[in-house]
Amino acid sequence: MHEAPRPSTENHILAALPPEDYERLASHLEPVKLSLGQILYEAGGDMEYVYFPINMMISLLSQMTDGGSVEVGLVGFEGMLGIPLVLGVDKSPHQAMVQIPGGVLRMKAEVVRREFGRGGVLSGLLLRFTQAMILQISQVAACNRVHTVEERLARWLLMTHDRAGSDELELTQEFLAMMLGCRRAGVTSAAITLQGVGVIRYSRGHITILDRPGLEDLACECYRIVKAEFDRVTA
Amino acid sequence: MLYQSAAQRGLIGNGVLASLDAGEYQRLFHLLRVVDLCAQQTLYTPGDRLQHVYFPVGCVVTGVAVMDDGATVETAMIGPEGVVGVSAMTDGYRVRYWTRVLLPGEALRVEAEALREFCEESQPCQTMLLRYYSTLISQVSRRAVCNSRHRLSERLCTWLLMVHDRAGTDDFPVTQEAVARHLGVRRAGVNECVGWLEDLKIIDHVRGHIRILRREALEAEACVCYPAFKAEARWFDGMAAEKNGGQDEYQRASASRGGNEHRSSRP
Repeated sequence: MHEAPRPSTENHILAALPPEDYERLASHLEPVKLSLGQILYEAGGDMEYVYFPINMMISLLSQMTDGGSVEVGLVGFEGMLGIPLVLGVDKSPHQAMVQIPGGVLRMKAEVVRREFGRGGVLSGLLLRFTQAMILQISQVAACNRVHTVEERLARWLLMTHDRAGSDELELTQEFLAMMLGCRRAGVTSAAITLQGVGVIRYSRGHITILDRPGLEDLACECYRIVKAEFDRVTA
Repeated sequence: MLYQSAAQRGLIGNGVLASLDAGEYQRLFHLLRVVDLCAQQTLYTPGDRLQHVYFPVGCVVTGVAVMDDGATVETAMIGPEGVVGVSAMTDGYRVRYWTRVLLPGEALRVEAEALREFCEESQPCQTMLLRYYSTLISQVSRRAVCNSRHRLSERLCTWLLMVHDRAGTDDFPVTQEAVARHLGVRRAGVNECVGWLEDLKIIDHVRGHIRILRREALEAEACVCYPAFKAEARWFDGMAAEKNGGQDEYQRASASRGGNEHRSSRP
């Protein structure tokens, strides 16, 4: 008796499933490579698949009527993209864009809905993950209001670093401004400040994490609060 | 009898309960208790085990993020359209936010454990709570944009409209300190904006009470987020339309089967 190979162990939700639940879903999980900037859902658009990221990251963006976007949350190996589907909603409230390219396992919406309806381990995990996402979104909403751009940039780089699995991050200024809900000039000056104290190296959209503990000291408490909540999802 | 009538008001006074069909509501009704929530009352503190879930009827409750330096920012507002403590759907959940009463009034309270058991048997109730959950995600997400991009004067107008939508009255007891705490700004900034709205005769502010004088003018000064917040506060209208839609489909199906059921037409 062999268990089916579990390439999914790098996704925390799938890895937390008992073997029999995983077996039931395995044939529905399709490995896909996604590229930078790829749009998985449009705001108000259909959600055909849910995505379990492995070594990549997805940004949830809220669009403004003036055309700009602000990141409200991000999803990596700790979770699943497509939570509204299990809450009974067909249209995505956010645009979902690939921020760090890499591999995901995707599954048809109806399969995850059916499995959620069984009320088993997956539905418990997804409910806990939903709560962690709400905490992330509200903490970031509050953080955008009261913390400095330097603190927010440090927080965001840590969240991204956790999911990227690499010290090298490719990020443009426009991208970062969108992520932090501020102006490009504000991002540049914050990045220069972080570089000045030696925690990152920053050059033309390329960021290298040099001193992670140092970055943690500079980040606001929002990083720690949100991280602890995601850790509890599969604890 | 009084108990019954107050709870029955809940049937129409709370959007989630109103979206349940009468049979489901009757079953849930036996688990509900009418409680009066006081202004500033803390319902949950971070780290608490979630013991009660509240369906506001005449009160407004807010979730507030508290930072290490004591700064506060409101992250969610829940009134008669919603449920406070919907996280109770998850077993053993511990609270992560300060949850406080903004405007006092009646709510229907249920033990978290009892609601969870009820939901295990009642698919419609679970469906409704999850639907509301997604509405809450939309509200919270929009705040991420609003907080970082919009001017205080616009955010204040939006916030006052959100309170007004839920309060059911034009006059509500809210101090400028409270407004500053909820918007995550200094009191001086709020003071200036309130003065501006008073000069325009849009609101009146006397001894810790705000009175909305010209709602349309307030809407004109609010940020672009407000229409979406407003739609979210009326999310259950969509549910009712969906329910009716479902029934129409059922009618069409039975007609095509040659069913001879007699149904009264909807008004």
